[in-house]
Amino acid sequence: MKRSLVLLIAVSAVVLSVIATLAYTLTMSKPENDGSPLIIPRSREKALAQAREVLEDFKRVTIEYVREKYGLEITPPSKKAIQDFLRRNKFGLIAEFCDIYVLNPKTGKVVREFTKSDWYKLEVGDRILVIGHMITFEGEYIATTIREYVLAEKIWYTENGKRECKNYFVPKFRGWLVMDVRP
Amino acid sequence: MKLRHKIVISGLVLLAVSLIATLEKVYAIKTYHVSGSFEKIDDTYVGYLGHWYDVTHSTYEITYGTEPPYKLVILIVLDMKNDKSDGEIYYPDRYGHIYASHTPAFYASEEVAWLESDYPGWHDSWITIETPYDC
Repeated sequence: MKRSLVLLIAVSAVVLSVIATLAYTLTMSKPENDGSPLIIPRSREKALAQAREVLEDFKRVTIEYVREKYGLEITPPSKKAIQDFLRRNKFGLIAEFCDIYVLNPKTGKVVREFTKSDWYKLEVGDRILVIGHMITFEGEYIATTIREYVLAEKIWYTENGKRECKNYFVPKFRGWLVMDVRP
Repeated sequence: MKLRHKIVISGLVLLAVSLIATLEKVYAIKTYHVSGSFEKIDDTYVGYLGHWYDVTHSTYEITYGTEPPYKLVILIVLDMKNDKSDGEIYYPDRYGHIYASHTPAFYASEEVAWLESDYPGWHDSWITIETPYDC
């Protein structure tokens, strides 16, 4: 009788913990508003129209132009990178995944990839380069954008005892080009 | 060892495994509400959204208005690590609304986000940030 009781308690504990695991998995680990606000009907045509509107204000450039101006050999987007971005992100019609570089303040050429420490180290007047691959919500590659930003304002503040900063970047150049997507 | 003992031990092992699995899957989700007018910086208007740590997933739901109405306000998200950073740019799905559900490429990134507009305006933004608990 005593052993049966122990067995019953053990089995009950297992069942309860499995239920608790499922409850956490289904509720706590999911974002509260995941996936709900995309209420407008989306289409390829709408996405391409928005992309055209964006690129109208950008200057069309070439790979050679970027190479010469920034000393950067742009890496074309790959199908794998596009699929990976789509898997990790949900958005409206179009979005871009970007590589970020720090520019030499004197020469304007790329000196390194932007890292976490650059967020804190960069000073007003320093410039960065953002190379973004623009895709539709269906994963169709549209163009590669080139944005040069200058750090116009830096505000230091303290939060939870930690010294933090806000960086205000403003665009100085906007260009675009089309590349071949790597398999 | 009797069968009952084996069953009890198996049950306890299962319990332990199940509890570990539970702890591993627990994340903290915080929701932030940020709103206000865009700040004018040179010829650009910026709405700073925030700076978060150890982000494993984030969602941005942004309502905005500009004068004149501008359909191309962008949401810029930076995922920062010590050796590299990634950027993402999200466009509105219609005038006045941007939605992005975002998982950084790097686990537990430091994340910064802001809005960029060519025209003055305001925003009302809801942001959820998911971070792993310290187990």
